[in-house]
Amino acid sequence: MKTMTRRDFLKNAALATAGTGLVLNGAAPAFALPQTGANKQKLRIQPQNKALVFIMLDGGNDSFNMLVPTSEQSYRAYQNSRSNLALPKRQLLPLDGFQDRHGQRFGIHAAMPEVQRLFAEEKLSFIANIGPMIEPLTREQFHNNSVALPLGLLSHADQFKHWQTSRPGQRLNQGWFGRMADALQADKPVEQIAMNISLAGSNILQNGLHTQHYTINAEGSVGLIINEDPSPLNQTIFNSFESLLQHPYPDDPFKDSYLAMTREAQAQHEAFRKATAKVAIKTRFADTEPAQQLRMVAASIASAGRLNLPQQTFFLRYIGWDHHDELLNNQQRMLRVLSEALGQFQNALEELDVADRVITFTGSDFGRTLTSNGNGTDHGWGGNTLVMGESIQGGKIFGDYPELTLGKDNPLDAGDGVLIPTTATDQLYAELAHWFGVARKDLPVLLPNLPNFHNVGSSQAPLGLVQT
Amino acid sequence: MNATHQDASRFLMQATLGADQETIDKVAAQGREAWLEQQLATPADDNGLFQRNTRAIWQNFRRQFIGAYGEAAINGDGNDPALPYKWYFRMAWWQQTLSHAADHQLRHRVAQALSEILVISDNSALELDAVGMAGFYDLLYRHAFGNYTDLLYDVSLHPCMGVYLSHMNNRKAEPARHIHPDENYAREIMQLFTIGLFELNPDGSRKQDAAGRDIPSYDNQDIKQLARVFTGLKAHSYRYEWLTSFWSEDYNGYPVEFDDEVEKTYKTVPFVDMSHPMEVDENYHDRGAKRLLKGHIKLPGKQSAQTEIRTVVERLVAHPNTAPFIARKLIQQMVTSNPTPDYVRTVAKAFGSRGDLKATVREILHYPLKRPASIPRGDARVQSQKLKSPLLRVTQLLRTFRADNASGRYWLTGEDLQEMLTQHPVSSPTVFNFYKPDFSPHGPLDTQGLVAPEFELHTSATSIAYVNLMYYWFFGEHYPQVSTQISRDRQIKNAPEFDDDFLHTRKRDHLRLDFSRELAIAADPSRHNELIDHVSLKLTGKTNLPIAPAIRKAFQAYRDQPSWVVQTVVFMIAISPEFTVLEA
Repeated sequence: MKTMTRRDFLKNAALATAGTGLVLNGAAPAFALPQTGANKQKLRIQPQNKALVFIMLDGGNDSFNMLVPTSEQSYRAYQNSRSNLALPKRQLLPLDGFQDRHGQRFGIHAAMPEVQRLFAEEKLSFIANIGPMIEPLTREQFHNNSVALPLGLLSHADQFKHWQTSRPGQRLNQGWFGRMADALQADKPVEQIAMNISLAGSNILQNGLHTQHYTINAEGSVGLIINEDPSPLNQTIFNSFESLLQHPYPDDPFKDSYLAMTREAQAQHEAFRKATAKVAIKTRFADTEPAQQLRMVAASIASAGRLNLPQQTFFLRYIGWDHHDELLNNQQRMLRVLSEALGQFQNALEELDVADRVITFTGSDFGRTLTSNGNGTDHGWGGNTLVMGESIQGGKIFGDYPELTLGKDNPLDAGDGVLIPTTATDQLYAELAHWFGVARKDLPVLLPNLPNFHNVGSSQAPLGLVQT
Repeated sequence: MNATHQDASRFLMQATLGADQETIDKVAAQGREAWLEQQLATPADDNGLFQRNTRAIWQNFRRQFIGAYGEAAINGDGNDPALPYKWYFRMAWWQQTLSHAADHQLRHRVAQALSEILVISDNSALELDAVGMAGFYDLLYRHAFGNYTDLLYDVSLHPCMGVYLSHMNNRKAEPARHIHPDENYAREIMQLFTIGLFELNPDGSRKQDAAGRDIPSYDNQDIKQLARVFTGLKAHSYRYEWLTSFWSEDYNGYPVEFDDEVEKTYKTVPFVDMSHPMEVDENYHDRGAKRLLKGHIKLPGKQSAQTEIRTVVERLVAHPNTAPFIARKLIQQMVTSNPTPDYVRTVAKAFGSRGDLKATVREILHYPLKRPASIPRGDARVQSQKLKSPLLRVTQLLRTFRADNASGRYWLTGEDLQEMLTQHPVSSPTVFNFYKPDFSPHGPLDTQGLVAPEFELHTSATSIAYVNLMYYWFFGEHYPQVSTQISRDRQIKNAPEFDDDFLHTRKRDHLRLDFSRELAIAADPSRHNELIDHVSLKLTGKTNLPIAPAIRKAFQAYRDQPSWVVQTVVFMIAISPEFTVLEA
């Protein structure tokens, strides 16, 4: 069936932009968020040129159809458990050159040739059966509730949150990117753009105790458009707008918060636009939302110096992975978009000569049930995720890829093929945070449950993912 | 009892999608309670209002396609289908929103609030079926003063919900093939539509166990039990609005069967009738006994899916959690982000065990007239506050100034609004709506322990985009995009026109606001303070705004040009927190 894509429609509908932006008059109005008490445990982060890019696959990617074992016995177990949703082995793209410690070989979904190439070039690896956890556990402990379990297991809102906080014993609205910004940008001047940049608006991952993220979209930052020319009329409007922004509402947190955001945004827009405007990227990006957003991320990373942001994080949200229904078609379509965007992004980073200082990784609410509901799958726990960058040990699968059998044969099956994770998000995040600059000793400040999975005093890395 | 004009204006911001001067005057004269009772007593004018309108608009475009390209534009091989795409419902929604009769203002407001609780979205496969979505919206509109049990039953069987939360085409378990029922709807009907995640006290606060922890209101076994109920559901019949060599007219109206050997891809939108409730094939419905929520719901088995769903909905609505859970959500939608425990308890009591929505809405609006609706903080004069969602700001501005055009067709595409504000009715990113009820932005709200859901949409991008939108409107007279024309691009023979520059030249359709009263006052510079108060009264329910000096300064240099003065005053108030924060 031929229809226009949603994006085509949107493009057709876009407002006519009205020429140049407003010329700002003098210094931006000053404003600082109120300080709300000191962070008790200090997080030390070594300043350096680094960027972390996180893509949230919102809804729960069925990642056991993204990364599939192809060795005969394992594939048979996969086929049996997944029933009518099992992908034919001949369609999988082989991950040549890798076998896990059990000698198993793997393939990935046919929609991901770019990911296959990046894996072969050792620029991309997978983490198997990962999920938010408080402490390691067995199925028996799971069933008799004898260890602490993440709150709200199998529920979107909670697991989505835990992937961003890595503190699943609580329901928190501050994420680990946000806590890093608390340490690095505690005394940020107002006009300085936040190091945490969101392509998806408000989010938990980049929300700190004292800092908040800066929201842009695929076209960049949003600034005031006041007519084609900076006419006297427009100048008057702008001056009035500015005086309105300065109006104090000391005892009125609603009005104050409303103005504060607008005020900060306006102060930061010009700086962001100027810093990123000159970046030329030759790499072609697909006309999809994730690809276009990653293009903007690449431009922001290339502008790190001009933005005065050696360290940056980015948050992207690719929505629509809750495939209770029509799993095979929809996941194929979306993995295609993801793979293509990742390939183009990595190419652009290489073109801009910044690939050595960027790590990109995905997360998702949860893996899904191995068993089918006829046409899709339901909410699970452990799943597979991917990490991309020149600084990692590419071409590997870290963690233990689980057996995909069902029931009592599989010590990880919590029921219907909901798998108990064998690697905690803490282990992955600890490696990424350390690479980003967090002192090894301070990792438990950032990730309090980490000692339950990893001897923090040891010189060994939790996974060995990042090159040393 | 009379109310002041200020009281009336603020009350109407809670109770309507925007009130003009006549309505404010009327409520001031009549009193808020009398107006409220009159609205509640007015039956829905048309049970199929949105669907009928949506279909008519879609048919209008189909006629235009045929006029331009012949019958081959909509049927036959080699063309693109002219399906009822999402815009036709959007157009119908705006047509109603900008033109509804004074008697139905509260009903429209409540339907819109319910659409952010019982969420479906055109950000899904539903974008291909505006007629179905309009039918779903009709349920919200029709039951707005009815009861929540009936509404939720109809919602559960509506094919749009069946597609959106995937219980349509859901089959009972086949253990041999490791196939289990889809759990999606079973989970969300509990988590989002009735009992919520945690056991609640009657005032909406969370119960806690001996160790001080929240108590989950259900577990995964409950979900698995409930998933078995929602099995055997299927679309009423096949219907595809594109006749080709692949699909003949005879197929339309043909019943859908699980085992009719038609590929399952064709048992859902856009190949099925989305305007009748889902039907059931008992062969695919799990007819075993079910027990969940510690025995709160017991189903003996051997019952039809409809009977079981009716029982489940009744029992879920009667669960002690549902009244405070839904009461709180509706209060947050309509009045304040941070209701007092007593306010929630009182509204929950009105909701009762069947979900009496008329009593609920009455109490939501009535309670704040007598008692403090929010925990008092900061400025003691302020009773209650919430940030108006971008959508409600826009509807209020358009309705207050009586948006109109020469053609009488208020067919807003919504594309420009959505692009800038990241919000449009029935278009949230997920079933979790545009913002979560417990969201709190950084800064003083968070540190004072207040929630402010709508702030989730207020970011460095959208806060400025809103100012830009107001600039387009009031200084560029570039109001929301209206499209009554088919695309001029001859490659696109199946969609409306979206080119803004072109649509702007369609003077008959171009939306305009009525500033005649304001211009009359503005003509006399000695009345400019009065003008600020006049606009402020309509938009904020207050006069003597603290920002009045800044507004005066803004138009000083041009004070002899009435239209400039009016534009400036409206713009400045519209972007100010005096307007964007609803308070009473």
